[in-house]
Amino acid sequence: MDKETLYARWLSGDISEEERMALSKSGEWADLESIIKTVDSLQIPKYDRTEGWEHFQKNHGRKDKPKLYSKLFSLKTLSIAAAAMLLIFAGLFLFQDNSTVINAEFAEHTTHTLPDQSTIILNSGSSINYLKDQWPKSRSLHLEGEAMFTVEEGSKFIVHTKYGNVEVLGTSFNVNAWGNDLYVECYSGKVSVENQQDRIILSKGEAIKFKDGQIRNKQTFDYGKPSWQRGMSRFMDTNIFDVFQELERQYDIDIHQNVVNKEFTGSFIHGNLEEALKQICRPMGLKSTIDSNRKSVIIE
Amino acid sequence: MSKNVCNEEIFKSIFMDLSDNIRNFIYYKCGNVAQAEDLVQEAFSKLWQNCEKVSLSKAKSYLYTISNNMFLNEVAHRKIVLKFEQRHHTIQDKETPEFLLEKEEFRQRIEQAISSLPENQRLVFLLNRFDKKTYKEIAEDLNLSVKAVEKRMHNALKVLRKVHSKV
Repeated sequence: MDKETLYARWLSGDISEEERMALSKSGEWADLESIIKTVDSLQIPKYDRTEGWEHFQKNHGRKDKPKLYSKLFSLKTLSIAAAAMLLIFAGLFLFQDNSTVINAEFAEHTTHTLPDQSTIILNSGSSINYLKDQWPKSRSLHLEGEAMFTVEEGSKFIVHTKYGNVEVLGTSFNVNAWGNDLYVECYSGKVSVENQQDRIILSKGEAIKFKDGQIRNKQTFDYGKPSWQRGMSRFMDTNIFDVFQELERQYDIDIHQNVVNKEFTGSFIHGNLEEALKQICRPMGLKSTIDSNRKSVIIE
Repeated sequence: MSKNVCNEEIFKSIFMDLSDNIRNFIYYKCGNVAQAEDLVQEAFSKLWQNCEKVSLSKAKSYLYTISNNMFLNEVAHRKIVLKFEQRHHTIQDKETPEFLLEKEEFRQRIEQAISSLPENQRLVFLLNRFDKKTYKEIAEDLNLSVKAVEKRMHNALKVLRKVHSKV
């Protein structure tokens, strides 16, 4: 290796044992180290890209282009999902024309008022299905995905999900039924959560997770709204693929990945894709690349 | 899907991606923040005007070339003085006033030394230390071989070492 690049290679760690020893002996190593230490304690004036962009736009006149949501595409996939859901629950409900289906599209939250004035807020990509005619005498619905419920006092109110049911008597709670887990948070009143094996009652500030059919320890929390209503999505021991799916729903993107299955505990924010990806990838030692069209992301 | 630079969203993402690189690149050459940021605007302006002739994959090298040319065309006969700021650090017990003063003087000498480096060396040094670019990335950006980058880096460190040993 040659002398003309010695210090550069010292810095990048690309030197031989011999060179290493020679530099230590001569005191050059110590000198270089103290120089680099001083240099690295400095910083240059910061540049604000957003300001730069705004400046640029001002000088170049903004061309206002109408945003074209591919509404046709969304409607098609949602109606496929809705049809599938109706088929699945055909065994429980007699298939009737007056079944009401409510969906939240990707990157959207949808609010819906039930016939008894209870309200539901659906998280992105979620949907519910119920038979209007049975209300308010019998309050029952099916949930696929995640929703926050505020239930008026009245008859038994049941939320059916793939992996368990949630029963209430007038309270507010969040049900998260993605993947193979059922996660419920109770914000007021009392909630009963059950599957084939277990049943548990939650009070205000309590939460429970049914993972792979097994009940986990009851947890407590002190916020008044689910995290997805406070601009972020939170996860505890959640399968990373489920995390990616939630990311896809919140940002309406496609993720291409070749990641090994792991569990993730943490959260990502809504409304800032770069930051959200950092929040997931950094703790998991993953790298992400956003396509210039900002519609697909590669994670590896 | 068209990867057209003339598409506003694509152009914006190019700006977000590269504007701070270009700004630092020019700043390291001229030592003047305002001048550097003006040149960023001008370079992107040129890209926007010529967006039909520049493909997405060539946008980066186009911006480097244009901004470098603009820099060379400007009247730049002033002495280069790069200004650095101290990052935050907590004061520890063994940092007496004398020690801090010495540290401050050393920092100023390093600052001056960096500013007085020949542009070739200064650029490589700053891209590596402040923009955190590897020698390979710098070689690509500046159209050099990795060895040429390493030589410039070595020479920069040699100069800085002279400053250090003047203590």
